[in-house]
Amino acid sequence: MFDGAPGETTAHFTFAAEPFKASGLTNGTLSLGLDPVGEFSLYLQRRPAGTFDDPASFAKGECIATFRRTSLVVGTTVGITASITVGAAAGTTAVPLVGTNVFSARLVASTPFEFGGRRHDLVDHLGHGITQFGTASETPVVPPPKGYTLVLPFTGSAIALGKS
Amino acid sequence: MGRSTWLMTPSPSYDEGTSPCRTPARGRRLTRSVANKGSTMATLLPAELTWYATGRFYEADDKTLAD
Repeated sequence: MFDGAPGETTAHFTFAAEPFKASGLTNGTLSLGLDPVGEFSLYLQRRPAGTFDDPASFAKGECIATFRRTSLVVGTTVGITASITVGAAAGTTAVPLVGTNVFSARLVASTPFEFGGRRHDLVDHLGHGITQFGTASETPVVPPPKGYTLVLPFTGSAIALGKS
Repeated sequence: MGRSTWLMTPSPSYDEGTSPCRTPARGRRLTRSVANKGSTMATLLPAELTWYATGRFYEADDKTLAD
């Protein structure tokens, strides 16, 4: 899976989503993000070239699968209300801490590929697609790359929808 | 006389037990293998773990998001 120690620069399999515009609402210290239906793809990079400094680098290589989120995705960010007692910013402010989301995505395209001496096709492995559970830190990665204003790290764990 | 023909249907419990974890009896073969089919991986079962991923959400100057 990696060409060396695990990391984004050594990963043979990467993903990238089509950009989208989210909306949101708040409920106390909960902040809800509403992401529209959209697509993301998986890529096989035979020579890993991903870097977090260039998000487009994760969309290079062989596109082996494309998924489409089945519905609006609601992500929840949990925050706290912090009090600032000194300086010009004195008062209370909301501080986001951690975000979670869950979404299903249907496999809409799959291209067979060979890797590790075997032939694979994700439609055979996954069936109709996946459901993924995500966790994000709300502490930004700084500085953001040029062209971006905010970067947040996350993890996602997916389970297969399987075949019916 | 020659050797007799086996007229009885071998019992599943004969020589192999009924546990699916045990290997087939001598001379018998599994009719279907659902795992490790040689050159391809098995199909994941519904709700079986598919992957772990890590990445970053990027908010661009035009306020679009992507990961």
